[in-house]
Amino acid sequence: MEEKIRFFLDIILISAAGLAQSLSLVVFNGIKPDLVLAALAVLIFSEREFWKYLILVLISLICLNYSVFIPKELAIFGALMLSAFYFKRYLSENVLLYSVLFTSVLTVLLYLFIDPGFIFSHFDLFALELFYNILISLIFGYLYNYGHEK
Amino acid sequence: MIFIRFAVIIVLLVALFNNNLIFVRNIFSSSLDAKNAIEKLQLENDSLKTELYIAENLSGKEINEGKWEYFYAKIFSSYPFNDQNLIGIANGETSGIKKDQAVAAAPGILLGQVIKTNKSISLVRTVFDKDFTAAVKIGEGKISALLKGGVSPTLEMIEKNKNIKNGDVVYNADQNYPYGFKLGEVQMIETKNTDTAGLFKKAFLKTDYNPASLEEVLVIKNFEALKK
Repeated sequence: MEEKIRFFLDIILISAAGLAQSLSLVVFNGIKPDLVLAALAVLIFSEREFWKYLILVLISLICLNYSVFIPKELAIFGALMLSAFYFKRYLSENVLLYSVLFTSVLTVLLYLFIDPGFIFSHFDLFALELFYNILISLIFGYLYNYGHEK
Repeated sequence: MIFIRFAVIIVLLVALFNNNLIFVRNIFSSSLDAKNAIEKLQLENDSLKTELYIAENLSGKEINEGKWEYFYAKIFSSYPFNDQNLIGIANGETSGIKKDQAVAAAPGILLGQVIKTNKSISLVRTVFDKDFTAAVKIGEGKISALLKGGVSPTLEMIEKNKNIKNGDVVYNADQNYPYGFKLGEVQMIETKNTDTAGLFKKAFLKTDYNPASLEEVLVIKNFEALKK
């Protein structure tokens, strides 16, 4: 029962993060932090079964979709998020540390795949987004640890 | 149990491909209505000032006619990453929206251009996108510059000997958008521009609105952009 409630809360969290990102509700100095990426980097440790994580990724893609069919960028985003689940097995349960690691690597990989020129031509913006993403994943990671200790 | 999981995943996939969740986004965004109402009024006020400015200072067939046909369209999403700045509007070809039509934040205030449409949804590239460029004029002296989009849009190629000051109005002079539409105002002029051997100066563009708080845009239906 407890696990079901947790999964339900994870769905609410990812939906809220997705809609906030899609509607640009959270913007710092003109930069949109990738709330969904940061949230999924933490939730990857919360879900033991792949199908639950798959549902969270699908919900996030629905919330982020800005076009009719899945745009290339979102397809890449989804594929990266799902492949990250595979690497979880090689990591320990230190959520705070590994969610930061996942967030950093996934942010870099995302832009390398969707628009590599952005990293080099607008490195300041990229670095700022990376910083915000790490900060948000730390907050989510802390809340995750707090929730599990309770 | 497996059947239920499978059904849930199928339903989510169908929702993902159809993207029919505009009403959910509207409910979510309507909670911000009170805060946005003030910004909307400020934008309307600025739009009226712009129309007055155009009438007093600019000349041109398009402006004198002043017969822009606006179509109000609700914003339902924005591009979720930072490498582009696109917004999705909840109207498409069935509402008469076509590719390359100019889009305004309020009457007389240019926001961007439609870059993609289908039957029910259109995508708009805004002035905050790094790929947005437009020839512009600055202030009453009609000083030429090139507007380059981005998180902080910049005004480049301004001749060093031309006098511009903070607060000067920046308006469009590009054939792809209606002439005389306001883009914003000059702020933070930089005279040291090493990229152009010191021949030109650069400034930043301050828009009169917060792009994140826009809820609807105006598509200018009776403007034909120059085909690229």
